[in-house]
Amino acid sequence: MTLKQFFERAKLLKQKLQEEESSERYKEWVDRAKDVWRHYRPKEVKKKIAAIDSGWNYRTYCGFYLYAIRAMAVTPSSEIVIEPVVEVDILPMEAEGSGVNPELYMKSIAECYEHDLASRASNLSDVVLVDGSILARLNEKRILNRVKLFKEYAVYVRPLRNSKNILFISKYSQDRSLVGGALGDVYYINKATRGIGYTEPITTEKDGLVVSVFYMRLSENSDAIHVEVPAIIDSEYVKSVIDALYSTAVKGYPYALMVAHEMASVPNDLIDMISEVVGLSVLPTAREVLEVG
Amino acid sequence: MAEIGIVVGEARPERIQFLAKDVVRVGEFVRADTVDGKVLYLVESSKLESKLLSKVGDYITAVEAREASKVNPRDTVRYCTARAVGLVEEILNGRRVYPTLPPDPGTSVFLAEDELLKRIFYNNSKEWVAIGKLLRRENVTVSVNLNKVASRHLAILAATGKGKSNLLALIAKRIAEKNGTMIILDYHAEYYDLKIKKVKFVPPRINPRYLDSEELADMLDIRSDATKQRDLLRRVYSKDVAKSPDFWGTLKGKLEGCANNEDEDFQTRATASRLLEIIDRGLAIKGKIFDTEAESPLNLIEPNKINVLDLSELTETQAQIIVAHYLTEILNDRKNAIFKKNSRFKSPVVIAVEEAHTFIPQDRSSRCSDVLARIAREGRKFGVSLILVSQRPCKLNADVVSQMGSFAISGITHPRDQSFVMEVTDEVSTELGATLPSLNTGEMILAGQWVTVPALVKVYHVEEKHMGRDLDAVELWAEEASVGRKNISTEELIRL
Repeated sequence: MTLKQFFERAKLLKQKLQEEESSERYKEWVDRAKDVWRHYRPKEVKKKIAAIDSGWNYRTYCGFYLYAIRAMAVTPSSEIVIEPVVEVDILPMEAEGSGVNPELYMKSIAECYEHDLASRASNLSDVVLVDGSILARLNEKRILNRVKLFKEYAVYVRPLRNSKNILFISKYSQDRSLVGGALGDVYYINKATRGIGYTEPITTEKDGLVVSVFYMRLSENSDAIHVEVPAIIDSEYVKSVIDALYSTAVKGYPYALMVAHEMASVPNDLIDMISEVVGLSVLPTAREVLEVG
Repeated sequence: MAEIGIVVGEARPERIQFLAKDVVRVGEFVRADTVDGKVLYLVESSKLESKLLSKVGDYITAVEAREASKVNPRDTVRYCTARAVGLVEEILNGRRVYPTLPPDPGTSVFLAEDELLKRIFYNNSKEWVAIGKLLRRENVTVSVNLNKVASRHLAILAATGKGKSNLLALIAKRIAEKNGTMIILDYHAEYYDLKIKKVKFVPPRINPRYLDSEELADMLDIRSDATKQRDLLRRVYSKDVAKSPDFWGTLKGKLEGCANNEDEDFQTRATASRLLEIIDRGLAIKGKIFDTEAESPLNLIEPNKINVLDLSELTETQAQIIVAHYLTEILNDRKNAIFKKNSRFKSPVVIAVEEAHTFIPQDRSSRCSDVLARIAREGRKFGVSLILVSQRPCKLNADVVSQMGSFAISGITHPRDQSFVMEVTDEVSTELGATLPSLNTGEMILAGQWVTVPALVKVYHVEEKHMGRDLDAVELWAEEASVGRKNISTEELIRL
């Protein structure tokens, strides 16, 4: 019954998208994306690259949750750049209505570790890549104010200021500030262009942090990625970043970030093992109490 | 010796999995410590994978992923499974004792040292003979136990061109060196120019007096559906014919009597005339096979020699009849020897059956399947053993093959043959079986009682054995053409 309704809705949505793509304003947005795009033929330049990522996972028990966080700074060859950060602890849930759930809490802590690692790695590497968007992070963490944690979060953001070699990379950016279309900028850029290139950096400011934002594509026919640098940079800088990253990009994404993601993740079997070591595996988890039998 | 891998995943006493630092080939021997002591393992599968390249779905991404993978040593995973072949100390003492516990996860895996493998695989005591080298260690000689071949039977199961007849020739050579007695039932005349010492080529001979009328009919090439001819032969082939000093004369006389007897109906007289023609034709073509004076077919077979019995000119049924008679006589003779009665073979006899699926087919019984099954079951007690050679294992009688104590296997590609091999020998696992098609000529899995532990072996090439290879048709044509040209003089060529 509901399946039929789902597919009817899906068909309607398809129709809507097709109408949208043939509209005048859609063409304008695609043209705008074409205008801001700069084609570039990269030259391979060897640079010391570090990638930062973190992973976290948790198990909810009656009255508290157990969590594990891991943050890593690694090279494309899987070498550790800075000693990884690992945290295992239990916490009670924040009060109802605070908006701070375990996911947000752990994400905030993990990001603090990432910022710390990025700041330290920037002294040891030519290019430091961090998975995510610093602007989105700051927006999202405003909610931490409710539990008086935002200031603490900001402490870890501060050292990033004017770090020209730290790049925040987003594969699925929702930023709409450049093209100003109904969907994210990257949607129109990918419709309008397929070659290696970039957009001119645009500078913005958030919570006292100056951030340069641009898009770049590291290999032909791949999706463009959204880049933020917590400093003022120019297009020559953007070209140098492409030169440093394009030769080891896979599907247009820097390989070092794939390695960091792989090494930092905290999969379910790992958090279960940690739970066993802590001695909590005998307790029913929040999911188990929903299971009958 | 340096660590080459680490035990990971679920380890069991009989099988471990390990992640290797470098390439480890199938057939390699490794060792790891367990609570029971050091255990020797045979690597049965070796998997190499790039985590990154496993996920790509198009060529361009694959090119990029290849470059990225090159710089990341963690991306390449070398995953091996290995089967326990026994505790090292026990193997060195000649016993195969399996561990009761697996190694702990995280245990170091080491390559087995050459010296250790030499002590395990090479044995120079008198019942052992060298047969090849370990496939992955060319400096380690592998010996096999001939006593086990001569008592517990052997099956050589390999695809065409993988070295079955070379291995059989090598075993024959080694048996000859030990003064043993061997009979090769040579169905395709593959051994007619075997040049090893003590070889004797034996033409098949049978005394028709010892055949029943159906066997005689088969030997004379009377069609199996010619029931009237067979019935008449049965009628005239009485005891007085079998005892007559002139066997063929008496038999033909009886048939001529029938053909000329006015009292017989027309059909019988015509059948008798036809039988006479068939007998004359049979004696003209295969007369040499029939020896009405021979007391026993064994008289031509010499003890302490390699006797090659050429069955190539016989039909399948005729070959089966001959084999049945020979093997029955041999088994009886060896029983006499055991019971201290008069016998020709005072010591054990090894019988090699080439194209064994012709003689012991899976789906039906043959004229010689009973005696072969009997030897497979009881031969050990009387010192008669079998070496079954076949390229289609699944077409062999499974009951007979299950009596084989030792195996040499190579190049089996057909899935049914592979599963048959795995059913009859528990030492060839699915993983190891998967490597069978990739083995080259002369590379074989040796398993069972004739080897200390199962191993992948490169069998020695027997120079004295020439047949079995494909003919070099182009060379032979060129040779023949050049011979032809030499016979034509220059003057003749000018005239042409």
